[in-house]
Amino acid sequence: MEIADDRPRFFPPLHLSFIIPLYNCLPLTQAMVASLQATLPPSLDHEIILVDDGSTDGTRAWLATLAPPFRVLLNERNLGYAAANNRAASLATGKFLVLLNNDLVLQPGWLEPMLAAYDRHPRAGIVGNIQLDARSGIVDHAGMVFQKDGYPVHHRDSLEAMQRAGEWVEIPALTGACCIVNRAWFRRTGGLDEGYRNGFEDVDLCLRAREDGMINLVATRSVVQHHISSSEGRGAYDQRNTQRFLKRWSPRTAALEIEWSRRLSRERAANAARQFFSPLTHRFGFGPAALRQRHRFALASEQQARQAATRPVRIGIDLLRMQPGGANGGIKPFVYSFLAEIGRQRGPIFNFAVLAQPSLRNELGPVLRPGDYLLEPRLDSFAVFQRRGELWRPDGNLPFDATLVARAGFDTLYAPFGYSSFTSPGLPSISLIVDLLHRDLPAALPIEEVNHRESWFRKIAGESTYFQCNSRHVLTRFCKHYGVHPSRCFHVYNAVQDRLPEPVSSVPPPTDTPETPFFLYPANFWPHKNHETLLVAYRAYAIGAGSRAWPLVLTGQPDQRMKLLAEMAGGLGLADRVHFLGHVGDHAFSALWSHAGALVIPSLHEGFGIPLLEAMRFGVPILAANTTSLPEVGGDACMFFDARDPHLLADAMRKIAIREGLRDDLIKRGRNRLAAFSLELEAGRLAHFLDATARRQPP
Amino acid sequence: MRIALDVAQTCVERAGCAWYADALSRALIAEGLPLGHTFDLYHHFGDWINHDPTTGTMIDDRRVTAPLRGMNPIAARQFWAEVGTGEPLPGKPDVVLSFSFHAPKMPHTKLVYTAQDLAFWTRPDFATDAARLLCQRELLLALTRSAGLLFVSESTRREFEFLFPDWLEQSQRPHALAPGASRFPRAAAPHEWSADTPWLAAGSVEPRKNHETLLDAYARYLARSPQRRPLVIAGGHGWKSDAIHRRFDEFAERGAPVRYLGYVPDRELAALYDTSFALLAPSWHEGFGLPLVEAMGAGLPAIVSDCTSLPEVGGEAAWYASPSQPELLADRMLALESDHGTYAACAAANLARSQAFSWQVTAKSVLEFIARL
Repeated sequence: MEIADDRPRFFPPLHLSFIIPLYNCLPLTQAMVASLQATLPPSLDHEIILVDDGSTDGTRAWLATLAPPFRVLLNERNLGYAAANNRAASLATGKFLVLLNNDLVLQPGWLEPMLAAYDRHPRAGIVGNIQLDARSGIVDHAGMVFQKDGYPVHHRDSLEAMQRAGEWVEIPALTGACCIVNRAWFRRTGGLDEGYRNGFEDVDLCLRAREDGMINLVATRSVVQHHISSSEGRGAYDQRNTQRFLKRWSPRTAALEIEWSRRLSRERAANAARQFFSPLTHRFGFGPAALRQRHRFALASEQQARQAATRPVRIGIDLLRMQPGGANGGIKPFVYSFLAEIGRQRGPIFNFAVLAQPSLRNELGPVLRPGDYLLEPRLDSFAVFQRRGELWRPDGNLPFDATLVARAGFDTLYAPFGYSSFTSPGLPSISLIVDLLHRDLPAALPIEEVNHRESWFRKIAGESTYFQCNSRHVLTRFCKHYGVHPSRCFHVYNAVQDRLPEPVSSVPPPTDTPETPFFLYPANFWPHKNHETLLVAYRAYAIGAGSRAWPLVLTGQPDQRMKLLAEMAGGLGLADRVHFLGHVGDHAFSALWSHAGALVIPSLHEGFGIPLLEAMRFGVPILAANTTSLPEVGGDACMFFDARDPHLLADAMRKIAIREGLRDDLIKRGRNRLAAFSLELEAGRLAHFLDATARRQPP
Repeated sequence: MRIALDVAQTCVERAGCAWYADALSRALIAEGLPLGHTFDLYHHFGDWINHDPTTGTMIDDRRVTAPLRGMNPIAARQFWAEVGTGEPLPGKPDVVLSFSFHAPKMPHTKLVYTAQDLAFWTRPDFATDAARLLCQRELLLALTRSAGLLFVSESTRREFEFLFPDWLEQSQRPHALAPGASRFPRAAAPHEWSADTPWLAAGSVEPRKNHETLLDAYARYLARSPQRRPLVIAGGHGWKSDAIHRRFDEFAERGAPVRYLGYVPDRELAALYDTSFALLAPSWHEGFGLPLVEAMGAGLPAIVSDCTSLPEVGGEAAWYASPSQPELLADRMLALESDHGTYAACAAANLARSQAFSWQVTAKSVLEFIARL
């Protein structure tokens, strides 16, 4: 709900990319482009990208006549709406993408109110506008809402009512016929989902923007005309698109609908009350007492809702299974980086209460903010400490039982280790699903551990409100194995590559690091990490390469299995070429990365793969197994191999060690790929879900 | 010498490796006792812990003891953990022979490790995750822990060389071949051609054994053969075998004479060799190929895969077909069936060839190998 704002607006020198996919309908296209050029602000820096999706009328001839700011992309065959837009977006250079259909008629002044939304709303995601049916002049689109079963429909209200509601109105979703989206975000999120065909791509994108903590807005002062569905190829895939959409989103969109309609009626009642109590009619209004009372209730309820949406919430975080040092593997850097980042993003309204062993107090110091709590288990209770500046101030005790949650005032419970014994009915919770090792590669775990994980996975599959998955791969496997609906899951990439400091000369790599370039495999010595095959492959490589062979460096928490592996390396005659460095601290780790020749990840099972991002960041080429999440994370920036076959791995090592051109190419691709992993964005998504569960709102 | 033998695998449903352990142990004992050696049988071995060790190989002789046979799994785990930390083995044997892919740590005793096959590394598609992870670890440990290595075939030794180029030479680790042999007495005469005996395929049903090609070839054979002999398949339910079992059922539904017998105890298996027409074994990978040597010993012709160890066992006598070519296997089947003379020659050659393999000879060479360590 926005109040009209008449302050002058200054557009910074923005560069905009207009993207218009075309498929036949040349006269409409020409009219649309003419209206676009006629309505753009004179000094606007822009490009207009026309993607022809295999037109067969005169469109191509006409496109050949265009000059900058037009850019023309020709698809040889019809790839569909999503692919056409994605292709254009990958070549666009603007800060914002303006997605347009070719059957619009743009009206003067349509662009400025949309752009202004980004000035007024720091969390603005996708901004759309009001579209009138070109034939009848009736409002056809003012955003999208959902039906009771979660199916999206256009929100239609009278133009006056929409404009009265504010200059920018928050809405669950928008059509992609005319909307603006941040290009960097659009690329990171993977663009429009090409699994749909000419329908629902835009709604899906809007829901993803919501997941990333952004809000979608309709700029009500921007009005355009739309020749409804003049494009061919719409409707042909409705059945399939609908299935795909509902399968992914329906329970959540149905919940959004309930939330949305409640909010709408609340706002309507409050608006009516405000009119009733307007200064013109008297501060206290006329009319029957019952009416006055109803209006007061409406105002109070609106105020209450606003308070509920902005009050600080307390988030319980169960880290009781976290150990000091590196024994937990990748989960620790993830948790620490994300808590710090979420604290930075939402500090004033998020209050963390972390349950952790006393030995972690020093590690948690820099992660938490003043005011956050630490709950340390004692014999029969939790000792509570509050962060005050750099100190932990004792703040009493809490019982070690089921009443803890209520007494500690948790609004939601976050369980980075998946299972928490403090879940309780009525307390929403989010569980982190790191991988599905116990189902997809049970042989790598002791049977007791498989059974243990299975039992708590079953428990949380029923109990947790939402599931944070380490990658899309994990999300898919989790939904498949446990029958959980995808709309209860979201993925968060562990984009923690920047937690490592820049390497400095004052901190050398660990002693025993080789002088020459080396292969680096940072992984704890767990069976699924497949060190055995790596050793055999490395020996085959080293024998072939002779004295020029790169050494192999293995880091990881020292344990019994590390001793076994060292014994094996000795048996293979590799004692002087394979270096076991143990757990390496952050600074030394950075130094190690800056000396590494290549990263090799022969793991048989990964939920994410943080070392891939670290290698990309430090400019180290990557050899990775072609299984589980690794292809999703590595994209086109890795050399992949079948990690079960030592000879394929040895081959890959040989190639990368001798071909500098290949290394440079992989490094370059890695640097580009890294843009897809932003801590701010990923933490934003997690924060959004924490916020939504804490406030009992649909995310 | 006091020699300890790993018979842990023989305590569960026995497959090729377990039969190998059983037969070689018996032969070693038979050859070794007269030479004054004494023996221990280990019914748990390293991480191979049995729930019921009493069903394993047992020899009734006072010079053969079975110190772990009465041990429950918890005690057995404890036992091997203590051996790993330096506790001596009971009776302090001079040497321990491992047959079950395990190489437990035993600081005071010489370990001889038997490499049965290395498919878990060379053909990863043909091994379960569990087998791969376990065997890979134990094989690498065996490289440091063993005093000597036995290979069940030249082909397995070549695979080892392929995986660990030059390792045998560099490490100077003593090694020897210990080929298998038939568990059954050699037949007096080769099989004679008969019109109604079935084709035989022996071996657990799993992807490595390539029942896919077997069934494809058999379907072609049925379409062209006047005899239409049944196909008898003997072998336990292996992993990833659901698709193959469905195909067995489909054949049966169409009235094709395919009979799956499931796991067959050795006495019945001997009878099967005696009453079959020929052995079919289109395996992708074999460490040794016990069914082939046993079929040859029974005087049975055989058409087998030309991969890994089978040509080494079959020599010039057996017939070969590439495991990827069902049509070729079908042709060979029809050729064998249509010509009585060829059949007789093949059966006789096989029987003659089988003399090259005997447990007695293998046991003698293993004892000599141990003595040299």
